[in-house]
Amino acid sequence: MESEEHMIETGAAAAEIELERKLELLLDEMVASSPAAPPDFAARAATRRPFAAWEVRLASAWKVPALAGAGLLSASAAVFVAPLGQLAPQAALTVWGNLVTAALSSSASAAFSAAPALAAAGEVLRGSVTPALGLLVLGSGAIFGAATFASLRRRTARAPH
Amino acid sequence: MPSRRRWGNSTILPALGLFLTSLFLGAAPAISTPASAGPTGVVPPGSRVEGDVTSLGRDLDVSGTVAGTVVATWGSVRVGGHVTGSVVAVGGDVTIFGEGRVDGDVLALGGEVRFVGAASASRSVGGTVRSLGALESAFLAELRTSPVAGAAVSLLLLSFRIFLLLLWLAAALLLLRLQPRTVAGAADTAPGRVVTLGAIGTSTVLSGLLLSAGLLLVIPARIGLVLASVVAAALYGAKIWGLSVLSLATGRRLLRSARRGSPLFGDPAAMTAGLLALGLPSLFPVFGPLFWALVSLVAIGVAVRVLALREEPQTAASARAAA
Repeated sequence: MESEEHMIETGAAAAEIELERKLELLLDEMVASSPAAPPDFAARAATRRPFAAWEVRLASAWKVPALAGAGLLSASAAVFVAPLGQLAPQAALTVWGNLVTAALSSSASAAFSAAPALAAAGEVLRGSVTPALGLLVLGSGAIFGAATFASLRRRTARAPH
Repeated sequence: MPSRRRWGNSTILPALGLFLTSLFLGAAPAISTPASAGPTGVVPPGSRVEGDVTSLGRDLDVSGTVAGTVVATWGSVRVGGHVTGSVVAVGGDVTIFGEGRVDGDVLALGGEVRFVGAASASRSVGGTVRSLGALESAFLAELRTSPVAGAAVSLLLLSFRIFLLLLWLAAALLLLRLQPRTVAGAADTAPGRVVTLGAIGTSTVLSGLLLSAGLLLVIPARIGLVLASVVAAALYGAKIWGLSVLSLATGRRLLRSARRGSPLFGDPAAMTAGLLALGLPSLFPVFGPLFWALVSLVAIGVAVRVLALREEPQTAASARAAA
């Protein structure tokens, strides 16, 4: 618990923690002043409270995500290595790492290197259609997007509060 | 009858978008300059076209000579003849076969570049060959040049898909860690009917497509390309944001019985469960990519809906503060 509290950052989270402490004190006072309330009322109320946003700063909240992430990484490597019986596991893992890195980085670099060819193709396309058609397509996109957004806003305004 | 009106709005808008898109595609033969009409533009053997050849929404078959650049949008290009400029296919493949020759560059955006028969990149293309598709295509391209090219491709591809799922999980969790209140608040307000959210997402993607196409047709290409990239980046950002919110909302429903003290309690665990519930089915062949496309549309719909409702939580917060 001590180490978890060290994980908590200052600022908004600290203010929220202070608020929670005050709430616990208030609950304890209620229990003390009300004989009808059971002695563990404050603890029970605390365990029933929903997850608070500041709690994402606690390391304990990340056990399941860490486990799932490790599981996905292991599964990805295992599925890759499994069909490569002729390679040693270490060599297969190296190939897997290199392939994944190359696939991700080559996409980004290819996008940049293809920009001049795309720009040239854009000029060719622009020259082959009338400006009116281009404006019509652009206007349709803008009006259609605005209509989608406006219909959502209207629905919000109509919704009962 | 508010529910009927909602159903109507949610279906009319994407239907209108599809209609507009198909209208422009239908107008394609009138605005493109291939040598013949019909579903495929053909430059027949022995013929010569001076200048650029473009097509919108249909394939191009170049068996003669084109003294210029060939550009196909939402269509594929087959080259068995000679193109003195470059060949670009947006949303389609480029296939060079036999004695086909391209003096400039060959680029397939959202498709692949293939060489058939005697054709090859070094023999048939004077410039560079590039294909920009999904990350999976890049992985397959890298795989073909690796020492494991002969191995079971489906398993290797599955491995990459699992890795991509891990990246999606990391991105969603990073958003939750950096903006816990915003993401959690959005997950509270975003849920709605899946059909409605999917329709909003479809409408948004279609308007993005029309906007990008319009920008490229109206503004000088370099600026138009930058602006179209901004539109694409915005859609991608909406997908990442919406998927985080959707995963959290889904996970909260799945783990609603988890109590404080349990490792499954809390938003990080809920987001993980939600993303796995949405992402794992996408690993299945055939059905998986279709499912993921639908999830992506719903996610974009969630992001747009949250954006439209963004004043709602503030109002609620100020009401609470006033109380």
